[in-house]
Amino acid sequence: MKIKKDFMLRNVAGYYVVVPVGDGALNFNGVINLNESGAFLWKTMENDVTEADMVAALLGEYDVDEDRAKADVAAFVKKVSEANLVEE
Amino acid sequence: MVDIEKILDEKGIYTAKTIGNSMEPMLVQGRDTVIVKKAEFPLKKYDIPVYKRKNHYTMHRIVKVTKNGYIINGDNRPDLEKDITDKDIVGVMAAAYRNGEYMECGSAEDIAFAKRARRTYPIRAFKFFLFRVKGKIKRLLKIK
Repeated sequence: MKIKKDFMLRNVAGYYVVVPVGDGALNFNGVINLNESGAFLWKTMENDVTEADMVAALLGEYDVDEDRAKADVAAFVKKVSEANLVEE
Repeated sequence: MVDIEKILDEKGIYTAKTIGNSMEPMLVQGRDTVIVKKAEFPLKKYDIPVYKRKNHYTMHRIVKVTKNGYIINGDNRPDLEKDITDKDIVGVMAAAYRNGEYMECGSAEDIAFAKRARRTYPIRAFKFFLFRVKGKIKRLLKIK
């Protein structure tokens, strides 16, 4: 799975914000902000990855245990999938 | 109507596709996305505020700062909006994706658009004047 090309992540005025840029984003309403670790996970999903890849990346970057990393990745994937930002 | 003020209070940032042609050629409807942040006052010349006018939002460029507020003009508009004040302004454009490319407000590219719009303003204003005169004449002839 990966983030659709119609959405970009930018750090603007100190906020990580998801910006709808492509035609596929025309019906996108609302604003999605991400924190530092959310932005990190977003960047991993700019390539085609599995949840296991993301957990491994998170463990490599942050000092967290595996259970916490799995829970955080699952929550993040749920959030971006529900917002229809992901392609399989 | 989307409450941009509320979103900016809650999220700090608002993003949207642009509507209309008033900021062309910089912003093109259906193509470009703008990123709006909370305004820090006072704003300065060439800033692009989002402000409320007759219960809808407009996003045009400041062309002059006066003691009464701001004089504002869309890059592709022939008319000036005068005396817009801080209390009318809900946010200010921070950046845009133009044709897929990221552009920050205040960048050389943005300022080039601003200066071009200033140079071409007299032509837009003159065309608008002629349009209004033509309308007036038409109305007068109809009355007679």
